[in-house]
Amino acid sequence: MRHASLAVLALAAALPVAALAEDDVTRSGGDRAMRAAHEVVREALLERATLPARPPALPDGEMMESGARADRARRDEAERAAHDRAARHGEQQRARHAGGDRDHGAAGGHRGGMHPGDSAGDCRDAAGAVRTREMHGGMEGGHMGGGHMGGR
Amino acid sequence: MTGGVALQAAALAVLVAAGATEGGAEPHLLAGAAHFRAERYDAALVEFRVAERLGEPEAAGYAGAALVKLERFEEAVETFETASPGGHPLHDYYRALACYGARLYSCADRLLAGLGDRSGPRIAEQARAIRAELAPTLEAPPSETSLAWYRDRCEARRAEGRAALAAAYCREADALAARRGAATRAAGSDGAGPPRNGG
Repeated sequence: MRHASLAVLALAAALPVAALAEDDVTRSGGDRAMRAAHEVVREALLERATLPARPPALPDGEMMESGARADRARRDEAERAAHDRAARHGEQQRARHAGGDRDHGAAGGHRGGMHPGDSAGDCRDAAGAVRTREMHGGMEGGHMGGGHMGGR
Repeated sequence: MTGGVALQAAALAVLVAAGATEGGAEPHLLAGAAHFRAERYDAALVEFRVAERLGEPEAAGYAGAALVKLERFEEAVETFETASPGGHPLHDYYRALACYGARLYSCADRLLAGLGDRSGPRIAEQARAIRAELAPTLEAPPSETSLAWYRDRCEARRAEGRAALAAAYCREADALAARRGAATRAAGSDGAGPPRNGG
C-alpha cells in the first residue's frame, strides 16, 4: 500500500513535467516551422525585389497641370462614350419598335437632344419632360436642342 | 466600398476564421510566398493579411511589399507606418519602394541609406542605384509648387482620416522646406540669385 502511494505520488509529480516537456517540444517545433515559413517569404520577396519602374520626379506646376489636363480628357472621353451608348441604345429601341419613318423626328438617325428611348417615339421637351408618341403633335420640331449635347 | 474590396474583405474574414482553427498563420505565410513568387500579388496580399491577423505581426511588412508590387503605394506606406519595425533589411527595402512610389523621396533615401551592407549584395546594389537616381532630385532646391503639393496631400489625407499617411507627407514637406531654406541661405551668402526650381 505504501509502495502504491509512493508510485502514485511519483506519477503525479512526473505528469506535469512530461506534459510540459511535450509542450516545449511542440512549441519549439512550431517555432521552427514558423521561422522556416518566414524564411520562405523573405526568399520570395528577395527574388522579386526590383528597381522602381519610373524615374523620380517632384510634383511641380507643369506636372499638376498635365495631370489636370489628363483628368479633363478622361472626363470628356467618358462623356463621349456615355453619349455614344445612349445613341446606340436609342437606335436599338427604334429598330425593335420598327417605327421606321413614322418615328417622331427620327429621320436621319440620332441627333442633338435625343435621349435613350427618344427614337422609340417618346421624346423630351426643353425642360426634359418625356412626351409619348400620342402627345407628339405639340412637339413638332421641338426635339432638338435638349441640354444633353450642351457644349459639344 | 467597391465590390472587389468587399469581396476581398469577405475572403479575408473566411480565411482568418479557417486559419484560427487549422494550423494558424504558417500555411498562410507559405501560400503568400508562393503567390508572391508567381507574381499573383493580390492573392499574396490576402494571405499575408490573414497571417497578420492570426498573430504574426511581421506579416504586415510582407503585405506592404505586396501592395508595393500592386503599385498601391499610399496603402503600402500606411501599412509600413503602422507595422512593427521588422528589423529585416528587406522590410526596409520594400518600405523605401513604397515611399518612392508615393513620391516621398526623402523617406525613400533615408531608408535606403540605412540599409548599408546588412541587406546582402543584390539589395545593396539596387539601393545604391536608386539612391544615385534620387540624388539629383534631392539636391535640387524644391519649388514652392512642390512644397504646396506635399502640404496639400498631408491636409487631404488627414481630412480622410489617414493620419499615418498624412504624417508621412507632412514630414516630406518639412524635409523639402528645410532643403529649400538651406539653398536660399546658401544662395544669399554666395550673393547669387534666387534658387532655381527643382522638379
